[in-house]
Amino acid sequence: MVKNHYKILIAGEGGQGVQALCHVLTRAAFEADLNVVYMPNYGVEQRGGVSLGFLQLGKEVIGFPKFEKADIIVNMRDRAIDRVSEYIGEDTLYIYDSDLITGSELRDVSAEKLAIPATSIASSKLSPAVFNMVLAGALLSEIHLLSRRQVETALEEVLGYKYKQKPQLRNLNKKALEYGEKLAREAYEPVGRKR
Amino acid sequence: MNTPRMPKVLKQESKPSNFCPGCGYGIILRVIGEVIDEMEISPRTVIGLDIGCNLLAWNYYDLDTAQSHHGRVTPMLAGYKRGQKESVAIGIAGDGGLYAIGLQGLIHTAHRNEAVTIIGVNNSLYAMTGGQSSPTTFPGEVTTTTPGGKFTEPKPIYGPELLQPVASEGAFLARGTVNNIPVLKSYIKKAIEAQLAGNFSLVEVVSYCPTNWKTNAEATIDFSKKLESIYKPGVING
Amino acid sequence: MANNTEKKISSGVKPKKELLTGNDVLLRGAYAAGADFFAGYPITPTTEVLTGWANAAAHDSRLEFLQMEDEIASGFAVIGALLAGKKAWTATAGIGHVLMQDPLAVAESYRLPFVMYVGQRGGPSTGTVIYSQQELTLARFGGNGEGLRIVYAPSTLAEMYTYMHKAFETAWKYRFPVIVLGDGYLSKMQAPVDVSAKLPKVKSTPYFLNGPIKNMRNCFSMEEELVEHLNFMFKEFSEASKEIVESESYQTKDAEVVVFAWGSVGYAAKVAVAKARKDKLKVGLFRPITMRPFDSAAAIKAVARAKHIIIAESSAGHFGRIIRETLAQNTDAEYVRLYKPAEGITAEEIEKKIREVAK
Repeated sequence: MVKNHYKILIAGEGGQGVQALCHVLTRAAFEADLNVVYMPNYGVEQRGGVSLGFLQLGKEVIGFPKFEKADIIVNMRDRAIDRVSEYIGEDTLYIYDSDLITGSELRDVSAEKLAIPATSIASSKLSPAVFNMVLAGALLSEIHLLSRRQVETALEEVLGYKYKQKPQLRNLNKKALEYGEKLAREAYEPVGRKR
Repeated sequence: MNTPRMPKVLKQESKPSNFCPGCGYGIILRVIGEVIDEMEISPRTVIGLDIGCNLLAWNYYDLDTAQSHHGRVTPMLAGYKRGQKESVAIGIAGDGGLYAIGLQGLIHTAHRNEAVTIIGVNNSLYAMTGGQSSPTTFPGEVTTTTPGGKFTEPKPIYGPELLQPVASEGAFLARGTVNNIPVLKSYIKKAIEAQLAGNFSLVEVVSYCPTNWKTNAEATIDFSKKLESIYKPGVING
Repeated sequence: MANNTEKKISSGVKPKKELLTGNDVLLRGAYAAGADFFAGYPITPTTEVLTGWANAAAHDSRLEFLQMEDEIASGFAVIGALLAGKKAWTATAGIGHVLMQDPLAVAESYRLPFVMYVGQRGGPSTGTVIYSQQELTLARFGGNGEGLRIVYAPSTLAEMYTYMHKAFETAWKYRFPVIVLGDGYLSKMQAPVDVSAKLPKVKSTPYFLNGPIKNMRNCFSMEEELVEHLNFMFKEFSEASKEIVESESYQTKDAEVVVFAWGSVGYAAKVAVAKARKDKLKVGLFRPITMRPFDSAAAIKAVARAKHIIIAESSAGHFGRIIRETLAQNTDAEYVRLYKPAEGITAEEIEKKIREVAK
């Protein structure tokens, strides 16, 4: 999706790393000298409730931290389906984890969809914990203003302390982003969607 | 001249008292004043007042005083003391202010071992508002909200004993009485010493309220003896 | 002198900017002012102010930190610290803000430089934990008195820095409580912001153990005594107000449609007005910066040519009531309400409304 400015809604449940992912992308956009505003939105639960992240990045002035319609939605959890539905516009791309949300659950969603089997790829090839980075990779393939390298640099800054405790996480995240990008590319090729 | 010597820290012009005749506050404020004099701490002492008859104390001391809302003297003094660690912070409050509306603040001030001294005056009821029952009203006691002794609780609240489990080792918790001034004075002195050593202190003082007890001089002493039998003077911690 | 300004919308990322949340920015503003004491209680969306200060205080012995048992105790601890001469402050939200009005009333009576940030969240009661503009009346007139406090409403992260610092300046200069009234979006959002401006440290002095004996009392026996105290305070508040009052009028000179909005919605409205102006629509914005005192003169001036007034706010009329009262005798313009209680209002929505009305 080639745009000057992106409105991205990342959704899931508390504990899935929705906000962590937003932090990473915000940092990457900041390092890329883009205008960026990220605003978390969630209920009272520390875990298990619906968790949303409103992320706007690009070259336009950002008027308000929340928006009406998203250009891209990334949904990690079935329970967030209802909450994100109001942010679907005419041109919204709906990326979701097809291991955690079934196609039939999204039957009423009119947006163009991109099913990414993030959990199964992460579990079989990498580590279940990095499933969200697989989705990030898929998202990244849609944002031409951000490169994977920039996101990897942002990961170093945001997750530096975790990387120290668990150095193998660095490579797992890197691989997860690659898988995500690859899956997104492959998903398009058969249908020949314009990018 | 037969007038008794007043503590230096008490204003000489503070007579006549605007407490009710027979009130215990005159004794309590005087004893606190004597301790301040003897410990030579008046240049660094501040007095925190609550709501209740205690707030009239602002008339009596040649010291900086601040009055808080009901029950809030403990957090206010905690903030003060943290801001001026060389000061001596003494709070005066009643049984309602400390054990009802301000209990949360009192417990946590003790729990954090804030270096302040609280003088808690126990006369078994809310005096300034006209004699309603308080957490120290004993079973069967008649007040304006326990008519004929109805609606009293099975047990009163024993403040220093209640704080004891959360208080630090160096904290000083005691109960004195206006009927025994030398002991009361020694407790207040120990309490301020505990504060100077960096610890919390509370001295509950069993006092008189003839106005709301509706007692004459003799009956006042009887009533206070009864209170003393319920609230036993002594050192609870420290 | 009223401070009515027209500020340019900044665009592009400047090299000095850091990536910070609003709560981070508030801490920077407070440090810049020389704040040295914080007492508080956790509540979303301002908890990170408490935890951020705790972290700073753990590494800097000049900073005093107290986690209290509730907001009432937090406010009274701040009062105690102010009496001791500390540049003390607190931060809260929603139901915590309700409790905080209790100590704030004392601060008002004692003329203490009580500084507090409020991150509005949805109400009534526990409501939502993130956002609203429903605490405006509480901030302006909470407590059992006359609302003798200053309320600043920043609209961007950059302003969160400026006005958090300014809150301490104003508080210690005029000795009235100061509230910085933000919201959960402003608190929680993260964006590039420049907080490099070196601002002057605020001077403070202890109230106690500082010369003549003081008896701070807010209990009056006689009505006449209290009235005398109040009249003195009204006079001082009204004089200080002339210097304190602040607002922004943007493109209002020839505006036939004037948007009234404040706080984060104020910035959304500004972006909307800027876009509509590109299509030559005669539209402007009036945005109060001090919600109390209120820049009535500038508000009246802003509607000189107005045919329509759009009031955009995330409540069902807290702000609109102030506007209608202020403009009552001064305009025949039609009022259009864009009220979204406890919900955000985007620039796009405001722009849409402007285009509808301007037709």
